[in-house]
Amino acid sequence: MFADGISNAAVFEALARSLSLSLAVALISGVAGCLVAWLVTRSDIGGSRALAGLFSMPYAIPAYLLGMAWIVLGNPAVGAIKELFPEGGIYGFHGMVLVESTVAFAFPYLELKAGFERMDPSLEEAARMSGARPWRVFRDVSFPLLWPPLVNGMCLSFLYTLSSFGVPAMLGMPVRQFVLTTLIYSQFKLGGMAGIGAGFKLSLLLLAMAMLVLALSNRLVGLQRRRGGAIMGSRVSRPGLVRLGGARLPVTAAAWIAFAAAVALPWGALAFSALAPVAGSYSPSDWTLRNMEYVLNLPEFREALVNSLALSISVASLVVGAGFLLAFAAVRRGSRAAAWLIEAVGVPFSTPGTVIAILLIFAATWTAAALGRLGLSFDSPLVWLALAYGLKYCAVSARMLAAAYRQVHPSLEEAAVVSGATTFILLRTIWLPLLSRTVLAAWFLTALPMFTELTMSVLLTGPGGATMGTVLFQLQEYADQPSAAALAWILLSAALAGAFFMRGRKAEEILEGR
Amino acid sequence: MRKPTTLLLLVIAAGILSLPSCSGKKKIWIYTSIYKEVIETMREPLQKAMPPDVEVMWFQSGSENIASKVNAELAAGAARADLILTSDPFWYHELKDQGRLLPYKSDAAKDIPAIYVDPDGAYAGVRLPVMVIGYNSRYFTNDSELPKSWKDLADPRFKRLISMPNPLESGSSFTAVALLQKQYGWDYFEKLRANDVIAAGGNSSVVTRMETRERPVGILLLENVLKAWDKGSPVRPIYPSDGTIPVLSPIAILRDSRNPELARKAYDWFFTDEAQRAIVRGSMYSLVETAPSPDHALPYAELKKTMMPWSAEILERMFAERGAIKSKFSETVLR
Amino acid sequence: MSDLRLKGVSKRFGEKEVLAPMDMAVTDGAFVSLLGPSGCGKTTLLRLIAGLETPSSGEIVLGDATLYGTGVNIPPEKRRFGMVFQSYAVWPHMSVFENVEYPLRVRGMERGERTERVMKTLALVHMEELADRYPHQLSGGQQQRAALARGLVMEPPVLLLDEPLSNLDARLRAEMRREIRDLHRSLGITILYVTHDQREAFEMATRIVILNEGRIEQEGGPGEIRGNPAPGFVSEFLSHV
Repeated sequence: MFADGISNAAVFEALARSLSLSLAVALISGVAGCLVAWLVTRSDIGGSRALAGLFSMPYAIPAYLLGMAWIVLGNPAVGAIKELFPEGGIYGFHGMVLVESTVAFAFPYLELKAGFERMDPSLEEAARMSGARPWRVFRDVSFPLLWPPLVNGMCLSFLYTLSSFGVPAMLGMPVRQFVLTTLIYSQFKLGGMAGIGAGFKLSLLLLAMAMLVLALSNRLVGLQRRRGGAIMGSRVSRPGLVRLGGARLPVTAAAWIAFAAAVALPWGALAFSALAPVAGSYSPSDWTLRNMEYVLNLPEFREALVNSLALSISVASLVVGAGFLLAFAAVRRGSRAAAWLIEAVGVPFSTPGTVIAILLIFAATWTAAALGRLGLSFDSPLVWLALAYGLKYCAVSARMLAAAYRQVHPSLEEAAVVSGATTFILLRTIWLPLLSRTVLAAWFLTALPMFTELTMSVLLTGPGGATMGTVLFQLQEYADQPSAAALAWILLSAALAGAFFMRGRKAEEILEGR
Repeated sequence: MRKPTTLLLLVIAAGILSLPSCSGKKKIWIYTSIYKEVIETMREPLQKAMPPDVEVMWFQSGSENIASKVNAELAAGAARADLILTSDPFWYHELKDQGRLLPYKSDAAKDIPAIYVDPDGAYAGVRLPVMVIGYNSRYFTNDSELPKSWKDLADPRFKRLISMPNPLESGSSFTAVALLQKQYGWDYFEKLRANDVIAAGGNSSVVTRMETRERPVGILLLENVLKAWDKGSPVRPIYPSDGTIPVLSPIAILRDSRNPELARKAYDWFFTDEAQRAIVRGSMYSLVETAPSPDHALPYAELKKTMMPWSAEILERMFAERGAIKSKFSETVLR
Repeated sequence: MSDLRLKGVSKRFGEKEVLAPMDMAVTDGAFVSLLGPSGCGKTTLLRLIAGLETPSSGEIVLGDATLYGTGVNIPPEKRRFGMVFQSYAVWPHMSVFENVEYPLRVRGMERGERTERVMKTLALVHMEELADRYPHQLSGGQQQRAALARGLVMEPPVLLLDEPLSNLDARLRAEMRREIRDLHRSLGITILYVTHDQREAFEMATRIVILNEGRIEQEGGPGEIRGNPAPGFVSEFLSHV
């Protein structure tokens, strides 16, 4: 029914797997995100400031390379730490859940962290003073008030996993476990001309699932709407931290071990691969810098770096800025159109990159035809890349900011409005500082995947359009694993360094350029 | 974000993005899966062979990506590409069937053996990648342990030692599967499945799996093995006794080409000595008999003796069965 | 019930010493106001007593129970103080009744007894009729009363207030000052009240502790201080009405 060469049973099996994978990841990310956000903002866990920034780092690793790093670690034949895994190593459903969770975790984690930081700590302190122990405080006060960001975060995790291709391809296909995205991919790649149609049909199936989930999450958040918002403290108040006491050492150790597992292990695996003269020879005596040199000296490297930086920074800023305004219009000014738009952009986010790229190729072809009739030609791949990135990732900031706006009590704005502030001043002096942490988190979650994006870039690129993703693809397909690992390691190290650098600064400071 | 810095970045970005190439020159678009390094050696000579008011534009990506892109462009109305050079012969057959190709019986291609040329001139083989067996020479200490033929791979002693590219993703792998099932039937693939063959990714992942010893034996393109060997990798090729598999890689002109004359000129160039030498330097076989063979590779004359048969009829027949081949492979190996 | 005593209590945040080591005694039933300009450490001191922050040194004792000392650091939920915050901190997802009821629910009191206690406390702050309203339906002053009721419902030994009136308008403030003072007289509860507004301090407190830059500048009854302000900071501070 859907495509040549694939039985309906196979399609539904893949669909079921996509759904269960996404659900598992969303649940794990939600619980873990909640826990870590609380630990990092409300307890005296050791090294909380460092942990706060570092925990979202797996998000910085492009999916293909994360999969590769984990295969180096966990493949059942020769994986470095294969003993730690059950039969089958890192391949298969449990491996996919694990690896996707380390990335998708970033959504609920950053939303909740921003939520906690934004929430008036005296709300929780009042509960403590009323005699409630920390778990009760969380259950009775924090959780009900942080429900919208949590649901939104989990929703984003779900949709991200649903449309992801890299990890299922690397960890599922070798053991014959397919998800809908890997099926769609093979239709476009080798389905001939009929494959385009088949790919679209399968994508619609995926989209239907995404729409269901989006509707469900709106329902869940809507139930909370009448409860008003959590007011931000008017003073810069440090929350009274919960003292973990005897549990402090084991909890701190556990957190750092979790971080090591999620970030340091893949980073190490990439380093070992990057320094290896040939894939598979990991002994330090053979280490060489040749791969790093090769990557840095590639003629496209500079062009790709500039393009990727320019594209990700500018498109992310534009998209986050637009999301900030759109969410304001939807939540604070009741604009139906804005609210609809915020819902609508959930669609491209849930759509596999290949599909978006194909649609944009259509658009590019029509544009070229139209321009051709006017005697003009326009060959800049960067425009289409920018469009692709923007479309794919704009949902993240729009939804995160909408959830954040909903969380804040209108009274904060009313005082300013009454004193005659224009909308522009209102946004700049009241809302931007209030939501600064969410804005920054949204920017991070938007710019980073744009920087390393691969699937769309490879189809939409052209002369002058090299990006980090196309260079990665080049290295992956035509060079060797150590070179691809070298690039990935360089990218990840840069991201980690950036996070480390920013750890002391407050979100407000960064946004105001101090 | 600092306000002035953001503004500056946005301006720079807008500038970069709107660099249109309204240069007024005529353009010839070549979509190809040939390696970038090889293209670099071809860029200048081809440009010189074209008239001065023409600009040659290259789009390079994987074979299958090119197919996706062109199919999408065609579905949207008209492809931008003038020339296509990839390595999935079945796609060219489909395009020809749909009337998307501009037939051209080029003089320059007269030396290409007839089995690699479309009888109606829709496309012609411009290079010949071949599928072989690869192995990690550090894993196999004794030559007698090595597989000598495709048939050998079905032997249980190779359980959990073999990987191949996914034929649903890789055109070269699909060609291999099509020819092997014609030779040995689906029984063969059931035995491969029993040997827990990994069929995932492209040719490069097969190389990686050989190097890391996850699967020290591989079914893959010779050029991947040779390139890795060049870099110091321990992987080596085996030319199966029951025949290496030819993966016809044609060149064709699209009917929608806006400059068919120029397209024909460029088409011809790819059969010149210069172009063929560049191809050979890229570790691929040339179809011109007088051309040298790639370094480290079995000379073409030797290779021809045992290569699996190929012809337009074989292509025709397998093209008709391609849906069935894909589903059968899915059921047999991918379940 | 018992006296609250601080000995050698200090607090540093990193390099900065926010409170120099100090001694303080609060007799049972007193209304002590911690008065001083912004940043003088008065709120920090209150939070140390509440248990929301941990002192860098010293001892905090209530009666014969050590709240903080060597090897002892009782968490805030076990200290049984009532607290009213500057931002009211009334939970938006609970009604007034549920807000005030919460400390009793946490302590496992029976429902019937809870209801009785809550209504009684609400009556003290004149909020009985608004028991079923939600915070967003209340004015600032009403929210403040709800917070007050929540702090009092447990009948705590000490009630801590952190600038509770600064977000209210002048008329409301005057009204609340009277009410709080009346509550103190009728309940006899020990009150620790942080403010930067000397009017509040002098009108309500039986004892005033004036702080500046982490040190106690002067302490005593309102009459004492007015009659004999310490030279330097205190005179300066008090001369601005």
